[in-house]
Amino acid sequence: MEKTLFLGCTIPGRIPFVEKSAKVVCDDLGIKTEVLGGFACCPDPVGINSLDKNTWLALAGRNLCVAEAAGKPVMTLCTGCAMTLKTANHDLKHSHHDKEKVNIALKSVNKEFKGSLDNIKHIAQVLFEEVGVDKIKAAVKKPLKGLKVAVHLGCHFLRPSEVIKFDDPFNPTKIDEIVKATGAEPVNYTEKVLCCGHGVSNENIDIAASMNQKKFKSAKAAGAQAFVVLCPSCYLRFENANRDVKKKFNEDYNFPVLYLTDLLALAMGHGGDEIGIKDHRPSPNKVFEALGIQI
Amino acid sequence: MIVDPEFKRQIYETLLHEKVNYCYQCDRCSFNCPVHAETPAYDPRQNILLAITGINPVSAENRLAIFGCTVCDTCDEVCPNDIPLTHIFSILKNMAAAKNICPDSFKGQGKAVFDNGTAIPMNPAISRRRTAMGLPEKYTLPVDEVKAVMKATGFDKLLSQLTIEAKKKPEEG
Repeated sequence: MEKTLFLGCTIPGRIPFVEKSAKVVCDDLGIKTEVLGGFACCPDPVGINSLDKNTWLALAGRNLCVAEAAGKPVMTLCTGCAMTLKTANHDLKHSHHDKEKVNIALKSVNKEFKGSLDNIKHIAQVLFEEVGVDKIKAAVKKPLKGLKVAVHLGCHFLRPSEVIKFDDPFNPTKIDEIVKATGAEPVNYTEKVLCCGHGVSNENIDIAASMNQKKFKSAKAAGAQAFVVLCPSCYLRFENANRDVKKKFNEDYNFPVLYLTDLLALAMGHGGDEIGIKDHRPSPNKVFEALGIQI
Repeated sequence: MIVDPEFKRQIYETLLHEKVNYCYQCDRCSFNCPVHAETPAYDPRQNILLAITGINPVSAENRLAIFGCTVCDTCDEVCPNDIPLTHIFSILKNMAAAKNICPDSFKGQGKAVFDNGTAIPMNPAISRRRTAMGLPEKYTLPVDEVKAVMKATGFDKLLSQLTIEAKKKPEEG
């Protein structure tokens, strides 16, 4: 299986250990990836889009042109990148007006959006649909028995469902199946689809902290020991939320946050050192030690 | 609050106006909004009502009324009339940003992407961490192309306004 890998900004520039765990998982499962030099910021659906939607669409259109020229299916590690590229591709294919406007801007770099691409997926979607849970299960060498995790999909992994076309936008279950393949148990918690609060945290951190407290409280009540995420913005928000929630509510959760590919890499027998587990804050080591799992 | 005809024109011209008109204020958007659950200061239903009537809710004093939107797309998903709320809110945010009303982090992100082609330019500590893990130290970014596209959409002009006014602030204070 060959994919054009779209890395985005946050993973390579802030949490590169996620790029590493994704790489080892892809290698083990036979997903060949290539990073194209022409890719830039996707750009993300929150920041640039809030400043100028036309620029957001034009920059996304430029990335799509680069991917179109390569001609291979696109895989992202970040939910925001997946949502931007999928949405821009959808909008540009369906709106002649938008396409015309974007192509005028793209003339400045001798590019033209054609609309030839229809396979853009987040790595989790690739794992579920193209690799399959059975193949993942077969690759697990060290089942993470006893580990209870709260799976957080992230808004842009689910919605707008009409464009994302993957899981139920309010009752997602597919990623739970991947988690189960690692031997870990995805807990059922009431606030599973509650937003991580990254968007609103730019304007008001206090509101984000309240949302995070709701989420953490419900995950803890369901017995979760760690969060599993698919998006670098959710990842960073939850790591910081441990501090923000403590400050506002004086409640100590100290939830370690793992990327889905971290969980898979560990279960597939890779060491914590290899995939940079030491760079997670708080460290997940205590959780694994308590379960007697050597990572 | 006054009706702003220019604002109304923009809302109706940018969107399929008949879709906005279908709003019968059922409140499903606000009822399901995770931010509205925390504060009445952000109210998607109210924003749609104002947008239909042509009252611009954008103001420096009440930035949260617009930027409280966390872009979770829940409202779009639950709207019984398929109104593209998040799209409308993007227009409101764009109008606010044009008046230099938006979170500083967005301004910084806009500048970073314009200057570097990425929202998060590589720093030496991360580069070292990457190399130690056997990852490429960094990736080449098409900085000139990104700049050219952003100039073609007029983003450079928006950015220069944001920067100037952001710098003015401390002097005024």
